[in-house]
Amino acid sequence: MSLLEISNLHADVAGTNILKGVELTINAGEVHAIMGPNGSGKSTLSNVVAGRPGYTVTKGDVRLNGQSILDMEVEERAQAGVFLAFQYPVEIPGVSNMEFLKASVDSLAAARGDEPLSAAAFMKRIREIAGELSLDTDFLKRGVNEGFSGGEKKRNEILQLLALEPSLALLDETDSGLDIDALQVVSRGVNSFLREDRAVLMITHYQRLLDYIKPDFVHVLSGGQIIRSGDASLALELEAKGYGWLTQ
Amino acid sequence: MADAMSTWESLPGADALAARLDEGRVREAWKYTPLRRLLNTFSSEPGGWELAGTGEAQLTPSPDQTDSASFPLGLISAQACSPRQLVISTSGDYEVRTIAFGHQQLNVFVEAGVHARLIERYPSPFQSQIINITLEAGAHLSHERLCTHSNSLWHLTDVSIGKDAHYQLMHYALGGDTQRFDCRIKLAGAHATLLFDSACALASGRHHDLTLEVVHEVPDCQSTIRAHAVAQAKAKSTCIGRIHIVPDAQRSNANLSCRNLLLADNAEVNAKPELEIYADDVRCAHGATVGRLDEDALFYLRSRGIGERQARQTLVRAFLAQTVKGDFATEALAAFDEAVHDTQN
Repeated sequence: MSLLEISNLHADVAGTNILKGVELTINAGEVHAIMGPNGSGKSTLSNVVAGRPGYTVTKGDVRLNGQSILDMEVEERAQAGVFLAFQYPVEIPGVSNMEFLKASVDSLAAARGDEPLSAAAFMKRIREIAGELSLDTDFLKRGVNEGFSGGEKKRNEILQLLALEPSLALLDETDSGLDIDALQVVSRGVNSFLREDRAVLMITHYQRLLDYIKPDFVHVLSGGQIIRSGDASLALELEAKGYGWLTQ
Repeated sequence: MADAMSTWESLPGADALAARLDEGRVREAWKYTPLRRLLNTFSSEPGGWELAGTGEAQLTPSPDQTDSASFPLGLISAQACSPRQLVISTSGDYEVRTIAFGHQQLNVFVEAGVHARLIERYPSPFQSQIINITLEAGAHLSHERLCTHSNSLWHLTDVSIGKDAHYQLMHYALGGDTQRFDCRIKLAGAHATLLFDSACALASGRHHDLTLEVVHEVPDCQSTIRAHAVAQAKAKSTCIGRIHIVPDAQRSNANLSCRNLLLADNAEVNAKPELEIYADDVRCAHGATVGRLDEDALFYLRSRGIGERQARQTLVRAFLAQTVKGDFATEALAAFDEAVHDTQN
């Protein structure tokens, strides 16, 4: 059974049809990358899977571990193992990063029927992850993403990824706005997340990211459909030739 | 409690007040709060205070000090009560508590250089309350209140801040039937500073009106005002904040921010920040926002597994927490959570 199975997915945003029959299967242990021209529907795809309000599925299905998730609420999808690293992480003044992480971890534990992690064990775990991502612990006390630099916001997404331990990570342009050092840190984080029971779907414009996180499959999304799939070499080919040869 | 038979017209001071109710200035100042409805809840009980806290002082009788030209309701309020005076000459914490339902007036003097906290507690609800505060040179006063009673009431805070003195007011309220809080704060001595934080969470159908006037009377003063309010269905929240800078008050620095969250389609918010500036070398800013919970923030929280209800509560709490501090912080935030717990609609 596949971890994620997207079949003939059509979706509208604000009355406009964006996804027009996406087919994509991701097995546990795999890393997939989606590339494609601006406006091709890449972010829409990740938002539809995460359940963002305002994104309407008109046809097709999205199954996680064989079960359709389209009727699930946003939080239920997260509880089922979906995680979206935001392209533009939201600033929430007044809620500390730590408080936010604790509420998230506790909600996921409650959904699994587990006891919540003790405050001490939680803090220890988060500090470890923050250390791996070269984030100062001061950062945990600040408001969620409040006044964070672009790089800090993206690292904060990866911190959440590692703390929440989902089975499917959707990374929506996690590499955009990162300098080389931050890109390496973020990539290291994503690589440490990878296990054989988990999978990653990266949306990116740049082949550069794929030097650090090796994809098993690369797909080209254009006009709301996946028009080409291949291995990592496809990304290099796109880097050299652009998208024109595929979309003409 | 109030004598059901009495109407405000039979109270002492009513004639003088009645003559002024139709003045344009009064009508404008009470545009969003039904003044007559509030008055009709008034009775003649005198109310009362007691003093607690660690500071050394006593409540003593005092002449009426209401500026009834500016606040005509004081005509009734002051007549009904025996004003008390609190002279703070040593630093410490002073807590005033209401001990009986009715009208009250307290005149507070903070002597030069004294640093004190004034905490208003309401074991008993009140009908009207006037607090006049004078800060002498170099005095610091941190003034905190949390009003959780839901009866109709009128409250006036009238403050004069002297040279190099600092006044901080933390106003937290849940609103009620018809609740009106007037604040007038004068920066009366050079380098006086004001910090005013207000947070208000209105449950369904409640009313709260915060009408604020800050006057920069002399140069080099600084005022910062932040008022946050959330309103549930059919609740009505008003925040009128006026900063007045007189011609001589050069190098004034004033900032007024009034932010509001509507939690239901039929909640009402009236936000009116006003700047009246007659000096030419000043730094002033004002802003007002009225909106719903941020859908992107809501999605962000939910995408991490947090249920919608908890996510909404978290965002409302975070919004209010930005202006909540001091001793009442925990109690106020818990009361706010309770007031707007039904945040799903």
